[in-house]
Amino acid sequence: MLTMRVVVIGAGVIGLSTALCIYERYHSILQSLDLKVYADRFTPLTNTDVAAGLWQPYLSGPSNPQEMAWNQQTFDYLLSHIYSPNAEKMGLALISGYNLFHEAVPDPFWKNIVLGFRKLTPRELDVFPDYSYGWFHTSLIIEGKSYLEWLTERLTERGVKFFQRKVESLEEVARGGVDVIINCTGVWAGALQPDPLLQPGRGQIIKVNAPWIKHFIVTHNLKSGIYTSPYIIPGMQTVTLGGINQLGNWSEINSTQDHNTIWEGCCRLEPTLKNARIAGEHTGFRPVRPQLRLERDQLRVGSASTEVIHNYGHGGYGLTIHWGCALEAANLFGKILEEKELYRMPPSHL
Amino acid sequence: MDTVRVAVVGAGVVGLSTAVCIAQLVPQCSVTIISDKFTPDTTSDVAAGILIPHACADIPIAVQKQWFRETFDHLSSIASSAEAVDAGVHLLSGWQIFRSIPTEQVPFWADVVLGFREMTEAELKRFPQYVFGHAFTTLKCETSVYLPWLEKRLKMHGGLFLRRRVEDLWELQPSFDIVVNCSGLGSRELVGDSMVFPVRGQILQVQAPWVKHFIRDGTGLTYIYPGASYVTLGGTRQKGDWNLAPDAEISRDIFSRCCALEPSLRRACSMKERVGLRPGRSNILLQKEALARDGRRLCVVHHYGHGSGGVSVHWGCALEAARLVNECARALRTPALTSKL
Repeated sequence: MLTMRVVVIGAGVIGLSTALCIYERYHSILQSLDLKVYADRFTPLTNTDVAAGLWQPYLSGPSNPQEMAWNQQTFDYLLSHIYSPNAEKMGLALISGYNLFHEAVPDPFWKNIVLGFRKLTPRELDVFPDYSYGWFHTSLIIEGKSYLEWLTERLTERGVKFFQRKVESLEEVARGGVDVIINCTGVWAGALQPDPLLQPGRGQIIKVNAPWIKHFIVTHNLKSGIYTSPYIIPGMQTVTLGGINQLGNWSEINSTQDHNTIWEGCCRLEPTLKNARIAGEHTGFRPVRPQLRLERDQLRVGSASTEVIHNYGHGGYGLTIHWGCALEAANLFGKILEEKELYRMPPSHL
Repeated sequence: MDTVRVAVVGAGVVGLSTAVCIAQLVPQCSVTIISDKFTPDTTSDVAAGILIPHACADIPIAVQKQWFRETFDHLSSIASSAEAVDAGVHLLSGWQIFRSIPTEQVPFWADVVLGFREMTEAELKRFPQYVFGHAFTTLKCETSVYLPWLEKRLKMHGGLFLRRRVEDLWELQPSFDIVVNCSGLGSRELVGDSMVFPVRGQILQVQAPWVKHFIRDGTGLTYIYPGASYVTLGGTRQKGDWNLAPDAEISRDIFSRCCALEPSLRRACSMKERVGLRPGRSNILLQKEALARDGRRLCVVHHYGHGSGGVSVHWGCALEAARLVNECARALRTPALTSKL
């Protein structure tokens, strides 16, 4: 086997970053790496494009402790790029801001990953009369659309080919003569292989022009759940307003009711928004799962067997955890190569 | 009770805020602002308007702190209101960094700004030549928006505007009863105060909307202040330099110093150069003076000499100036005391 034929299905942040990570690590080791990306949606039509892009894991510790390390790896990787000339093209910027609560909560597991984490002082809380407790820290923005464009450029430079096609089954891809399939289909993964643990967490956001807003403000309602309380997240050019997370809702249409919920909630939080001009409104689906699925699988098609690496189900923290997952997917890919005796993993990777 | 006629000379941040305070606090008065320059042509218009005070040598720290706190609280309530955008006031967080540990590790204003703390080692890592720093949240008061907003407020209180260059305070007598001298650097000629001198500042205004934090070198010479419409890069402090024309060499130097602190600025575009002459003085002059000449009397309240720190203390000072004007007004209204003026 002289050529390794790899297909990545999905062109959101998970698909493209996994493709880049695998290419970077193995293309010079393998005699020939034929890497393709299949997707029916590309930027700006992916779910990644809808995300505000604030680096922030969930409040409670992940059920899979590996996810903690993947979050950290992603933050460190992005932070190392902040000072590079690429930062703006990647859609990357440092940003500080507020997490607000109605009651005292324990510090999050990621408090030492971000910079300068501290609790809010009483005078700071006076600025937000509806809330009585909170945090302040410095994190990162990684804007989905810019980042996907940047990843696409990097992959294209490296000769990775993109194909617009709707994949109906993993078998269909395998029959095309593929050695490894990397399944990064996000919220749509259930169509390729039933997964009762995966469901959409529908989100709707409003983009506004409000360049005077320099901080993120994320509020929390512990009873109703993550992303159901207003949030205001500045990006490079616009500010994202949100606060919708509807499990099981597949409607791609912007809802007027949700628009009003977001608008009223955010204007209450930040009265200056009444001056903001609306620049756009979008709906996306977080690929919600009790824990993300990052594991190997084998697909039997006739007498042949195709390797599969699943990498999906990142909920609302895909951008936050993507690089750590890409590194792990690359590790799994390395194991496949080892088994095929194409490559020996250096001890430090084991 | 007769209306006390007050003239405020100067329409920068000090003149306008003083006029607004007088209109609000002094009963039965009329306020007229007289200036040869109005926004956007004042010194204040060039200032980035970040609220970080500069210590004045001769004024008690407690007084400076009070002025700063009153200004901060006043702007803070504007910032949290729906008026914030019209007034040009917003919260801004960032870092003040030092190449060597400063003697005063906690400045007098630390508990006035929000969330003041020392920077962590992880935060200092991005500034390799710096060993110490402060992290805090303060306010930015965009003068090019704030000044027109103050003008509107003054108009709402019935204030009048006169575009005219005043050569001598006595020109204003007998049309006005009290003159408030907020002429900044102009006081050097207007009242012959040789202690006033220009401190030339050059800045760049660039487009870099991804910069969300301020970064300030502890010396105050190099700074990056992002605002709503542009990022201000600075700066210089050239004492005794009256030159209002931008210097290309200085612009290159400012840009290079700022890029050293924030490399992403290299991608910034649309650069404008501006120059302002700060009204330097060893200390702010804020006091009454009773002028007399040939049997004529003129009550003057001097309010000038704020150097680099005008925006940071303007409201607290304006309140004090208004109190002094009130004292003058009361004295004028008490016939028995008139002779004491």
